[in-house]
Amino acid sequence: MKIILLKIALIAVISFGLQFFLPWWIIVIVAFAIELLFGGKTSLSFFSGFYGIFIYWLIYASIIDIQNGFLLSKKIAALFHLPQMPLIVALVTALIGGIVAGLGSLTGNLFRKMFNV
Amino acid sequence: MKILKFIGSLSVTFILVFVMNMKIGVLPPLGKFINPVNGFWQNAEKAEPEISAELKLNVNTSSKIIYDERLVPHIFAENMHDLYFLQGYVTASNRLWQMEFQTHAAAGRVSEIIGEKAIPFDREQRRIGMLFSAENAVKVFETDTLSKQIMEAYTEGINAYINSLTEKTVPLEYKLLDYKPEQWTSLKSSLLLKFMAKMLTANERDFENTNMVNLIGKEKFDLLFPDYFPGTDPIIPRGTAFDSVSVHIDTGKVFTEGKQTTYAPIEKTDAHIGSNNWAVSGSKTASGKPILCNDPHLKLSLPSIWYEIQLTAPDVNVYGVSLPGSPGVVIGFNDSVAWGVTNASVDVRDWYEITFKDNSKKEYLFNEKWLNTTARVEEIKVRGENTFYDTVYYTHLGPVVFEGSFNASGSQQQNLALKWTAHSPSNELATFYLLNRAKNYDDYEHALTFYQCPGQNFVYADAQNNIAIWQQGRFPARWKEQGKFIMDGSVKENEWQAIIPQKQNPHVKNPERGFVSSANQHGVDETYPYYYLGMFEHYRNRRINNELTRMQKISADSMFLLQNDNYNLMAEENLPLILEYAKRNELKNDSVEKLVLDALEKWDYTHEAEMIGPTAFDLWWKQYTTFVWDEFEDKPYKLIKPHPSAMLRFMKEFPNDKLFIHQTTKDRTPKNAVNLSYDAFYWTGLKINELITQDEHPQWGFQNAITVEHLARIPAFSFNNLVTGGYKYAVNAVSPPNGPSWRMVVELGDKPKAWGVYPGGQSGNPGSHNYTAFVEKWAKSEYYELVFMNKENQAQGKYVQQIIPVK
Repeated sequence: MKIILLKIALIAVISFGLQFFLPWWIIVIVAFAIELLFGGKTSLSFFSGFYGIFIYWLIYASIIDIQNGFLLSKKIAALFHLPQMPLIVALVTALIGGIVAGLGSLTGNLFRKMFNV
Repeated sequence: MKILKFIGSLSVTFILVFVMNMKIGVLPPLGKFINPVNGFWQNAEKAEPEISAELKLNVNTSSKIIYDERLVPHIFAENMHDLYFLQGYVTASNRLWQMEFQTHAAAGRVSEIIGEKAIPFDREQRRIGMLFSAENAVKVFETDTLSKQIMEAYTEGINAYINSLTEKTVPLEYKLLDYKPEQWTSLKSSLLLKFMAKMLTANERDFENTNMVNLIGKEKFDLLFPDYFPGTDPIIPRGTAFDSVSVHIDTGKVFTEGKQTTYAPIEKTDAHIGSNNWAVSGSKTASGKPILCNDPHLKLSLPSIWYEIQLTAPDVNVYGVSLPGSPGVVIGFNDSVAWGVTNASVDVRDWYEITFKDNSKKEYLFNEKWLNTTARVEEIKVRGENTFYDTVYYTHLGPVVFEGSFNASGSQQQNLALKWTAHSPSNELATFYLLNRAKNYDDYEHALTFYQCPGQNFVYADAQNNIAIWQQGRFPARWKEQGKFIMDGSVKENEWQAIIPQKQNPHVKNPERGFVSSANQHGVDETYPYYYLGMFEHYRNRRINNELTRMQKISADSMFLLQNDNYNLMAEENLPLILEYAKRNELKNDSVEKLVLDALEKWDYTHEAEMIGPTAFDLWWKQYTTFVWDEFEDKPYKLIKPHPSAMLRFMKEFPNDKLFIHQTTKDRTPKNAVNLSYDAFYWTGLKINELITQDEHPQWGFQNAITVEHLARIPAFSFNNLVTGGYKYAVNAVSPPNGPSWRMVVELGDKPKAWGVYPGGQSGNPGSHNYTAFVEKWAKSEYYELVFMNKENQAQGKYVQQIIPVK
């Protein structure tokens, strides 16, 4: 249990650091690399990437959203036909980021499993 | 098995990342767009703007930008370079996407951004010569040292901002449409002026007139489409003396027998794009100082077409609105003078039928000789597709816009060339440079001599109590009716033989009546020595003149009221006859038509938001004209309806004309103007009932609700359905999608006092609280007092930004 929390935290923090210089998909590589390094149960490996990015993106987007008074997120919601409620777009952002990072961490885990470690 | 699982998972991940990095249809690359570090989230601004106290830029001397409460930048520079550099920098920081998008549109480069669906638009832009003429204009201002320096400094400033951008800070629309800003050039600034030229001069009706005259004959055409309407009140007051014709023109033959043309006419100026401006002399004001007012009516858009700015350097201190993409102030004031513009609406675009020798289109007939064409290949890049190449043949009568390869429908084989003043090189930049620095009437008059297209009515007032107006532009000297219809391009007399000498352009200084004004009406009365052709307004201008004649002790407050005046002179003139005709029919009590009639009898001809009368009038008029013109509805070519003033005369004098026979009524009873009037009332009654029962507000403000639309037509970035009063024939010309795009009132004196408002905000970013900051104030007809600063008085600044030279 501890190890998954550590993986989540590492994915969030390292992605946060690298995303300032590198394209958005670096989150997938970070999630992949962390699972590759730490390994663990394959059934849980999706969630290290998922929660790492979900939490990080949700917090980041929510802070911006609140400071902006939900002005832009409402317009983006209208653009994508989402309900125009505070934080909905932040939640969708985090979900999408989480899913793609989760696939990254799952892939990393499976890669490690190929070598039976 | 493990390998398969891995490969499966890897592939899904890879495909997902790939797809999220790609633009699909109208969707932006999702991963790039939504990630909080670089995506759209970074364009969500805090309520309090973040303006750094210091900025290092490539200026020569330390300068200062002071932002007032409404984020209007007041630039304090020490030299010309720094002034225009900073104007470029600041404008780009707020409006870059808009600046570039408008110039891409002007250049016919929209397909590069949105793909093949924009090819017809781009082709049209290229074929009417937008890019060609912008390139010509650049050649001219590059020979003028001063204009060149201004352009270079302004361009450098814009590029300093563009070069500072990162994936994270690039404006929102670039992220959404997935492309990148390119370097600014003087060609882009020139394209912006052509964009304005097209917007304001595409009001010719050569196609429509030719089609119409074929249909109804010249006699009826002249009756329905007269050159002057009864009671025309021109810009230059009647009785002002004009010099006689000073250029020679050989009269040609009016080409009314030309065939009807089924070519789709190209994008045109909306009939209700127009503007008001006036200046009243101190003899009529409470303060004894002149007051100048201007409200240009354009398609209202977001980001707004205008950007407010004050420019201060040792030789200049000017405040007003600028066009993002063009240096200087376009409408504004300084310590000594104020000026404003309205569209001249004079016809400066003529169409010629061209006879090619053969299919190679290398030669065309003119004056019994074969002349050579010049082929220009337009390269239109298309996103995700092959580049589209379009060859346009240029004659001395302009580019052959329509020919077999473009917009041909059916068997039409007409080749039509467009002659347009925007094609000839000019340097409008010099006009604004000089106006910004004008100290007196002579400076103003000199500044205008550089101005060619789009023709404008430049109203003027100065602190020495002079008022004036010049209709300035490059206008062809026409023989009677030349250019009203499509002309035969092989006949020598049909070409533009001369341009009206600039000094003979209509103008007046300090007229006796104590005011000058314009609202897109005729510039002159019938005594003007040159044939005067255009599409002119007939109601707003007379309302303004009536009001200004009546008013004394004028103050800024009374000018606000006049700019927002909702009185409909067209209704005052046309409604009594309509009501009289309607009453000749038997109207049952409690019938819908009776209710409409009662409502209109009580109506005071004003278009206030909460009223139902104006809704009924507007619906009735539209339906009536539809009934009258139903004969022409299904024609395969473009026609135009007569002006309400001509309609009124026709209804009065020829009530039994066959045009009043209603084609779609099944019973085929012969109808006339009188019972057609009743039919329209009945229809209006039903329509209003329908509005009420369907819970759609019949009040005028809702029926005339205006959407200030985002330039890329994205509803989420637009200000939708703004309920407000006004009407196309009222001074407050709110006529969706057009309306007063900037309302300005300036009182000159020891120190100018000014007020203004526009339906937008200083920021062009939909994620900023300043994007639509002024819209509601504008809709309520309220004004901001403009903060005119100088070296000594900068107290009203809210944010001060020091600009430090990099060197």
